[in-house]
Amino acid sequence: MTGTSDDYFEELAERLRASGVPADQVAATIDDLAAHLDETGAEAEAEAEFGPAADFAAELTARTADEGEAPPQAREWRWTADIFQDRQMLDHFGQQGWEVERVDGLGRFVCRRDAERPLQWEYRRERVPVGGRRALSARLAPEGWEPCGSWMYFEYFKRPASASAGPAAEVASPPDAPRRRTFFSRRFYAFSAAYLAFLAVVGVVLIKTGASDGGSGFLVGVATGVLLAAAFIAVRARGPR
Amino acid sequence: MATDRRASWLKGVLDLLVLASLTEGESYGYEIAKTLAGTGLGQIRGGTLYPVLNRLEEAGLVAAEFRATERGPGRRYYRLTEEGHRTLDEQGQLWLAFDDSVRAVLSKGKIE
Repeated sequence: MTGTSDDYFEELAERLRASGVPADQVAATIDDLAAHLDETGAEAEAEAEFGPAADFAAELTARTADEGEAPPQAREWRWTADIFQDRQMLDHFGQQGWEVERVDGLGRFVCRRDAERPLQWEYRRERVPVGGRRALSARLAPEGWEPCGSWMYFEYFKRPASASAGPAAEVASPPDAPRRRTFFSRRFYAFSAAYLAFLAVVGVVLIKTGASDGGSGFLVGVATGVLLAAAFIAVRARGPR
Repeated sequence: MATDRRASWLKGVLDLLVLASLTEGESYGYEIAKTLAGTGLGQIRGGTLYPVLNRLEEAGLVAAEFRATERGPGRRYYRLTEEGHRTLDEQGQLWLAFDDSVRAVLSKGKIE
């Protein structure tokens, strides 16, 4: 080994130790690398063979994708919106480079955004009959639409805007992922309030009628109806139109 | 694991495959993906294909033209440029040489 190579291995060892590699493992690694370099040829330089010490140390200590954190490209962001503005929000976040990968069991859009070259995405929502998803997907595929999630009897589709706009549809400076994860519109709150008020009125009328008839069946019916309505509204909070 | 490895292989060669798929004439994204899927490479999603097409276009290896259609939003058609032909020829030869080397090593490991 040359003096330059000695310096290289000293720096490498120091960096490995600083990364938390045990001393005996550092020594064994350096011995292996030095032996490799000797076999490569007398004139071989360590840096020419292994690359800059800092980079090589990082490679040696890098955790693989299976062992460690997901790469930044795979970072997820989940969010939801009500039926009145889900398409608008999809368009908005699609322009920021968020690609919907699926709709999860809670009705949230599971998104990712490429860390290197995020694309703008276009979305559409279609109502599908039972068993008709495959036919719908086949019909839209030639236009570049790919299914990206289902919710009840609706199907969401996505398409990179580059399909029509090319490189111009990449996102040059993507903003950070919003902290907010739910997007409910005023229309949704107004709808929910009006519906609950309607149920309350109906409930009062039914209770009075039931009480005057002396029967408890009405009360059970009212309770059941309110519960069903609440469940319906909860679903519609996410369910697309 | 097997799927991850195929995705990794494809990532390294998809640009060449796209260039090769355009040697018979111009095409558009969906058709390119369909052609490649038809050879057994599996479904290539838009999120994988269009960044490659964008890079090829920016490098001048393909030229693109948007054409409106009677139905739908129109399509962006891609064709190989002279530079694209040269790159495909050069890089394609390198890939084949690499493939030969891999085969040679695998055959030593009794993988035929």
